[in-house]
Amino acid sequence: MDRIPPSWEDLREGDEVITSDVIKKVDAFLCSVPPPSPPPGSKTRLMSRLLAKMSPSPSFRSQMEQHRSTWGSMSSLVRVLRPQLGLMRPAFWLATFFLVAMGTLFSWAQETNGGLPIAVLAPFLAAVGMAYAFRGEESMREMEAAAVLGRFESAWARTLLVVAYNLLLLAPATLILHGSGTGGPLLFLVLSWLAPLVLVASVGLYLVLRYDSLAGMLGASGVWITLLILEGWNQSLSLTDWQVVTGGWEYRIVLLLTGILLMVHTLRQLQKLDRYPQRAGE
Amino acid sequence: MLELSGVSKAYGQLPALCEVDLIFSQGLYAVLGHNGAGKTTLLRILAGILRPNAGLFKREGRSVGPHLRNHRDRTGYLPQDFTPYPDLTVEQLLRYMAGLKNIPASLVDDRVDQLLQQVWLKGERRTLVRDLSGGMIRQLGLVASLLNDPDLVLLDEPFTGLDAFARQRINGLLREQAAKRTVIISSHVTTDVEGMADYVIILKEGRVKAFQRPEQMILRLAGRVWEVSVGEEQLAYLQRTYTLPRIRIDAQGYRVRIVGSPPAHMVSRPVSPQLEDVYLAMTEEPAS
Repeated sequence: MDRIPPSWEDLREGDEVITSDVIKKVDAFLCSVPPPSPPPGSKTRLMSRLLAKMSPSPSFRSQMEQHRSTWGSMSSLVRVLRPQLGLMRPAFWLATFFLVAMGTLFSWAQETNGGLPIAVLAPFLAAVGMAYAFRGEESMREMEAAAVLGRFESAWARTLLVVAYNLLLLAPATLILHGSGTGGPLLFLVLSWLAPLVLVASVGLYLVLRYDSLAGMLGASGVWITLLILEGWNQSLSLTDWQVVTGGWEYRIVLLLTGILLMVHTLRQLQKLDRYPQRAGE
Repeated sequence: MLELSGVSKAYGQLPALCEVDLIFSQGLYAVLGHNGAGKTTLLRILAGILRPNAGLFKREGRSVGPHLRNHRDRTGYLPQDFTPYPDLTVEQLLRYMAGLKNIPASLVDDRVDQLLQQVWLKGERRTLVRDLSGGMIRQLGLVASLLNDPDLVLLDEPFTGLDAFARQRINGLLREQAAKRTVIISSHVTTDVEGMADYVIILKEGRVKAFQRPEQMILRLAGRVWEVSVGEEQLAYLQRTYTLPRIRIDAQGYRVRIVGSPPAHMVSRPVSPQLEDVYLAMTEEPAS
């Protein structure tokens, strides 16, 4: 009758009734054992961990807003250019660099009309560059258009990247050619490739936005080939003199201005298209 | 809350949406309709990338037009037949989209990880897009559309090309998203949205034919859906006379579900209506 069950699991329905003696013994035993006390500071640690788990973590949206509020106005250009830079793969940079390097070597090797290969090559680089930058399929373009930095920002950022990269590639080449005395006056040499490059890039921009990247590349290259042929035809098909083929001062300035105007017009049209009217017809 | 009132859109002379009035709040909305019914046009307008020819589009009581940037910042959109850049890896593509969505660079890594984990694509982070299956690309598109933690998620045919497991995962993810935001998906397959959507919108030829909770829609047809066992000749008669939601072939011939009173001379039994019955009854005409 005085038996204490070894554990609670041993108790079964129908077991003998525990007497008051047993309860007293258990009570005496429990009183004799000192109660365990938690290590110092454990309650504070436990509470802080529980509170951290229970308090709602800030949403991703609020984290974004918090970071955005620290952005300065200067970073807006970087923010537009950064994603577009990620879109241009190293293979593209390397291929164009290789082409320009070959063109420069070829130009350098010539005793006269050294600027001709670079002047002829530069617009093709622009056409290919624009087509590559705008190579996305229709559905990808849609997704891009629905983003905060939509069609307009993407278009000007890509155009800027392509033109700036070509400028970066061709400027040293021009200096090398000028230094070797094969390219003629510096400004004239720069204009010989810059003017058609800007024109072809702007034609490419218009066509890739209106149609697709293939149309942009073929159309822009086509414009440049046509200009070359027409000018060559005009000058009795003489392709030996770089000044003849790439035109004089006036011709180059007209090409450059036409290119800039077309580019600005295309981007402004895109900006208008990107707006959403409050009411129909606005 | 999103509100479209009297919104119409035509491509040249071809109407795509006709005076659509819709209101969306939190929850999952399914837009059902055949090809060319106007689903994609509706989603493009909601995404702010297509101008309607007429009508008003408001968000939180304000016209979207002057606040388009803010609208896009809080919207995620997955277009139909999403075809991303094949020469980018999954991570590069998501980083690119995060850039376009103006997400601070320091937050991108964790966000990409978290979302890829949810669609079980974390292991494909460095895989080229061109090496992904069609279903994986669809899931990648879904991740891209959720990157900016949008209040409004627009998914054009999100279940296309998904296997059963991926479908289940996406289903769960969308339900989870719909608990705290507006999710609008389009489909032409009712089984894609059955048991999942809080509201169903049925579009036909650019017009809203129904906009209700699915259970309410189904109630409309209570007692009007029958299953009839017929032979080939009777099947032709039924096809001329009724909208035929579903035809099954069994050993005895054809088992046909019909909406309306069954012909007296045929053996029929009442069956419980389903969303597909409602959808087909509203969008299909009898062959005759």
